[in-house]
Amino acid sequence: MAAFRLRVVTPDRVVYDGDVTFLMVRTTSGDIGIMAHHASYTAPLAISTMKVEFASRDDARFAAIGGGFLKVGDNVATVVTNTCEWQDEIDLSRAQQAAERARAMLEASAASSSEMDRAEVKLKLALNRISVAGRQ
Amino acid sequence: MGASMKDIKHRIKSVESTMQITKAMELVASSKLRRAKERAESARPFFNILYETITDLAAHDEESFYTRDRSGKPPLYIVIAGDRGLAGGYNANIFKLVDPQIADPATRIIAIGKKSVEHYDHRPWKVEGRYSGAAEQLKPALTMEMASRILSLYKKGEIGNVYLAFTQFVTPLTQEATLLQVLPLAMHQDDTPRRGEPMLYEPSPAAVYRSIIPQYVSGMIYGGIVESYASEQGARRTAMESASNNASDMIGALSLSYNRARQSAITQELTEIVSGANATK
Repeated sequence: MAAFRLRVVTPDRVVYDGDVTFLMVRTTSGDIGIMAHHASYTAPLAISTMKVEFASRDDARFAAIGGGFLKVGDNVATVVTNTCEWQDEIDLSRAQQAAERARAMLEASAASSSEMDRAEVKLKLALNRISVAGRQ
Repeated sequence: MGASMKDIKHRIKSVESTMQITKAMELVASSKLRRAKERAESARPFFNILYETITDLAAHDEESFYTRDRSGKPPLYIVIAGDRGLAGGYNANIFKLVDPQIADPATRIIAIGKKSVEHYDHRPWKVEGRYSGAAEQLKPALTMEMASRILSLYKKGEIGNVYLAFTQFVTPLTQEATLLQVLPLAMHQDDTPRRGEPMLYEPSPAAVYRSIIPQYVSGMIYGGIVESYASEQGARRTAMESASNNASDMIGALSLSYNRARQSAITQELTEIVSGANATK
């Protein structure tokens, strides 16, 4: 299958930079699959799962993505996001603790609306990590 | 002679205690530098790809809210300096780069780092944001907040161009104060118009920009702070290293004159004793 270049970057590291055959991410308007020679395309991403298929291996890899955006052009797909971990990198107990904390925060009535927003994002991130980690 | 010996001894002591401080600061700066350098190097691809992606987007569509020229309005400068002094020319260099650029008295400033806050609080320009002590434990949430503050000013039309002033970490020995235009989005320098198919935006160009621009501004500030922090540590290490060297040179020179003074005091005492003994004969 034809390959294209995928770059996934976060502020702390380059998560992936290499050839892949298929990429699936969830944009704010729904899932999108990218294959080689896709038209130029840009969309913001939701907190979701990224699926990547490689020419060199049979099974796909999954990663937890914390928002950001996707840009495709000239046979290069670029995912820019604040957090991204591959399935095997996720610290499940930490994600569970984060989810607990965020839930407690949301239940506390004293929190301001900006704190509520932040807690909601944190909860989404944690739940997304848990769901990616638990994927078979 | 005795008094001068005491003076010299006093000076040696004082130089020694200064040297202890500079030595300690040098060690602290080098260990912080190692970590800061790693962080800056791992953030650099993000910074570059983000910038490249956004300028590429801007080249695709020339007439959007974020690419239109706004030079009529007062500019905003985001100035990143350190939280502490004693880092050689690190803090001064960034102010020396930015201040002469400012022509409009209505210019706004966002000061990041305690030194930057102190500097711009004593200048005529309006400081829109003060952030000190953020660099060491930097969180993307903080730069996101800065970005939303900047963008709300931008949308209200209170500010025109937005510039980011930070210190680029070239090597541990060289740092370069840099001024970068963040908004409006700058086009690629090459004159060739973009060929090929138009960009598809989902759900719409406006929605894409609305979601991407805050991340872009936040990412640029994040990268700027990380680079500047590494530069600060590098500059401090170099400055403290040369201060320690100067101190040890000074101690050497002072010990020499101390020994000379001691020698001549002994000689004089001996002469006095001998002449005293001769006189009593």
